Amino acid sequence: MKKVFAWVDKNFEPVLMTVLFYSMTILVTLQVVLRFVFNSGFSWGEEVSRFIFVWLMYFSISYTTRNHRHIKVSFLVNKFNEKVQKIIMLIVDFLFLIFSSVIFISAIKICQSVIEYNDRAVTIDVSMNIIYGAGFIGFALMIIRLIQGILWKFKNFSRSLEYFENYTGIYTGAKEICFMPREKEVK
Amino acid sequence: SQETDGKETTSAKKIEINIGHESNVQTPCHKALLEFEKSVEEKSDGRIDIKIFPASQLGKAMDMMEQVRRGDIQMSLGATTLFTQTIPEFAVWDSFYLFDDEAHAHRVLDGKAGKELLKPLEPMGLTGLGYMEIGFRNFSNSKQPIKTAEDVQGIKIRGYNPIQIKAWEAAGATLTNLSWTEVFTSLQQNLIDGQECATTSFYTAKFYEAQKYWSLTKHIYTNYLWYANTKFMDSLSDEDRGLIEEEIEAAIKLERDLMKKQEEETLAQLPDLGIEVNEVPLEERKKMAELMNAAVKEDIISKCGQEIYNMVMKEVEAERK
Amino acid sequence: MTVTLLFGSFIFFLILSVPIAIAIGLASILTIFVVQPISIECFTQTMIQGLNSFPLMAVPLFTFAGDIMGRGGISKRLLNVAAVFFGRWTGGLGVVSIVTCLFFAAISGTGSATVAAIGVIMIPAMLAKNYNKSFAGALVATAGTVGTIIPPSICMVIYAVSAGVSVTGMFTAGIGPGLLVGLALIIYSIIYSIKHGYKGDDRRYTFKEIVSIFIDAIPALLVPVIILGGIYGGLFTPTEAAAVACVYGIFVSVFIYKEVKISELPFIGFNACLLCAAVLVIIGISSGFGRILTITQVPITIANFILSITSNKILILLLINILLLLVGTFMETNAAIIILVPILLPVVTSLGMNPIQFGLVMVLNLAIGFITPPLGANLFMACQISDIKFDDLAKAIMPWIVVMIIVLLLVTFIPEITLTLPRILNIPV
Ligand code: NA
Ligand code: NA
Repeated sequence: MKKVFAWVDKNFEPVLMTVLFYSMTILVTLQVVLRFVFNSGFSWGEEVSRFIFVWLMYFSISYTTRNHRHIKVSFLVNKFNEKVQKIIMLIVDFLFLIFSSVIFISAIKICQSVIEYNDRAVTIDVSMNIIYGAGFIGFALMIIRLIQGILWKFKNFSRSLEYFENYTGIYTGAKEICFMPREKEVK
Repeated sequence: SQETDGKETTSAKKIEINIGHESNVQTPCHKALLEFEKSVEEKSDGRIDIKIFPASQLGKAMDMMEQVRRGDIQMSLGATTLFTQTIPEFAVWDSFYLFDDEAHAHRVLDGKAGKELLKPLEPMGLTGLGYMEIGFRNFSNSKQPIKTAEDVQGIKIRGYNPIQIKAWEAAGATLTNLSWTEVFTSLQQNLIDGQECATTSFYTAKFYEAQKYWSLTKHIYTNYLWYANTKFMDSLSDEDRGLIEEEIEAAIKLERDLMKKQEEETLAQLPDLGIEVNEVPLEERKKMAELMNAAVKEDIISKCGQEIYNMVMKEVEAERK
Repeated sequence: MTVTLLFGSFIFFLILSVPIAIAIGLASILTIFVVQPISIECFTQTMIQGLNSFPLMAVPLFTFAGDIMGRGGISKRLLNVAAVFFGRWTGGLGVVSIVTCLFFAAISGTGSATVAAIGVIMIPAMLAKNYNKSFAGALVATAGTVGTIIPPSICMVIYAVSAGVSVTGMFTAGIGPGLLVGLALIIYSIIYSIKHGYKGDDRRYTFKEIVSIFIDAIPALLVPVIILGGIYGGLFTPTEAAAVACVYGIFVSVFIYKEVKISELPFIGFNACLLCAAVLVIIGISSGFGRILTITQVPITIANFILSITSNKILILLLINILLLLVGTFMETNAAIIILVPILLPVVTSLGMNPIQFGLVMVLNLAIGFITPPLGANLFMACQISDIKFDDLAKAIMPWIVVMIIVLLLVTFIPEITLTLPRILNIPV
């Protein structure tokens, strides 16, 4: 069971991201090909590829959160000693958690109102929650990822700053994704 | 002191109306809204403060509807055809060749049919205020002037709504789904041969730079629904509400006049810009109407319901002159 | 009040090293709770819809295309071709590096990818010929900036989306300034090489060698033809071009040059998305932030304020350039574009500047930001791929920054550099 959890922790978003990325690429390319060869296309192609893209990005953002890869300006904070830096990092994580929770709750409200008023997409007949749902799920995942990160930081408060920070998720299996090529150096 | 007290009471009573819409600042719609802003603010002695956000600054038509529903903004405008996914009753206006001319359209929209079709807004907490207009849509392309129903065949145009796509496919055109902002470049790059829109849009969006023929097919009339948040409207005093409704009526009339003028000016200007303009004979337009309506009638009825469909058709006939 | 709260808290969170995206988000929800310009749902709705955009899809697609072509041996072939032409010039290796960067820029969407792809090969090659180490690093780091100036360019996509202008228009307008940067860098590099006695390569190519180098490079040389030709020729939109480039990149790297294995593809796709997510989350959250700005009419207020100080066009443009250079020095480029476009665009358009020309001014400024210490993506990349010390590179880069600033001023004050090509190609700007 523990093994299953560890696998899901490392691979959940990456597998979905890969599948969605290639679906999006193929769909857009197919549209081009259909236009050339058959002088036609799907009227829904553009809209569906956008929906895939939104979901793809929310899974990617969640994994970015897991691996602490968000872009930040840290050269000012780096001037402090290690202990202060660790405390600031924890505060930052909590602020991030507050933000995600606020957005998560309002995303629930949006999804509810979409259901209530039956808002639907333009070219395919699906609920607009096909878009807003990505925000809802995305922020739910982000909350989970943030709590994981905060727990890690409490558990490893006395370890080295580098280990504590776990930048790019290097100490929590960022390089152990199931489809990771083995022999080559990874940028 | 008294002075600050006075300020506080006026600021406490101040009413803010934010209006969002998709049209750009050169359109009659925006100009009429500016007039609306000016006269409401003047006549209320500045108690009512109006801000207008044009050109999709606050998002697409559907996003703005959600904002008005929630009360983020108080009013918005949008073509009913953009709301048919959420308010299927509006699909009835997607029928082709409903109106003979603008006056006919105004009589129907300002009359019983138009008023009945504001009712579906109510359960959403929205109040319909009236209809401005985008106008009759015509057909532009770079291949040949459209003079008969057959001339549309094989021309690649922009699709933007399932019913519109189905109707033009029935007429023999090929459709590519494109958002409004992509149309210009797509025309320029021959990704599509043509598109259909209102005359003033054809001009303000500069489509004439990428097209040769502007055929006055007048196949569909696009309204511009003006609606507000119901709670906001109900919060107004009778006096303020009266003022606003009066000015809305004036603004709609002004917009329609400006539109007429701008359309005439544009049509006169297009030949100088290298565009060949042609009328389409009434019998050919009727032929196209039959062809296209046959393709989408069932879809429209299944969306708006037989009752509304019959009511609107009856009103349309009654107001025909 | 709103402005102070919004920007004050944003800067506070930034200094606290909150991720930029979240700093924007926290400042926004704080403002919403205090001032209530819009509801929190409106913010969230706008934020989610912010990513629901077809042009933005080009960002991960171009990232993937650049990455796979870098891994797939395309940069190597481009270098071989450039060496045939420029190898024998004084400072030949430097010129070859710059020219190859110009070519690779027409494939890659970012600056750092360009530095990585070209630097890995050229920095060691220059060191072998006794070029000064930090000169070599600075040259490649600077030449890499054309990756964002010459289309395709992710910065341009992001600008186009923020400013509401056409991506194709930006892509066309970027070629002039991109080539100008290339030319300026070549001139500086030759001057420096003459001073330091860097001779060209003695190697002479037989006709047969030249032919075989070209044939080997055809699939690589075709990439810009397909991408840019396709966009300008009206065959596809920039986003579609990006997808086609991905498929073509896979085809060339896996089946023709055979330097990428099929089993590596899932990871490369995943990696491209992961790299972009950090930028796209900023775009999404900034849409919500932008909505607050719009409804409280902050951009117009700031624009009027600036114009009330001076309406001298040259002065304002200089001030904006200084502001952008400062921002580019400390902040991530794409984030800077997203935050500043709604504020600065009304100022310059009221001065009669074309939004697309301003886009190029902005992209150039921020491209310079890639090579300004302390925060410069291209500098980091150049250090990572060679063993140059960051401090040495930070010193050696200074004259290159000066060259770039000269080009920037030319582009700012001579609209023809950006707008001539779009006009010739009849592309709307
Ligand atoms: Na590029
Ligand atoms: Na920098």
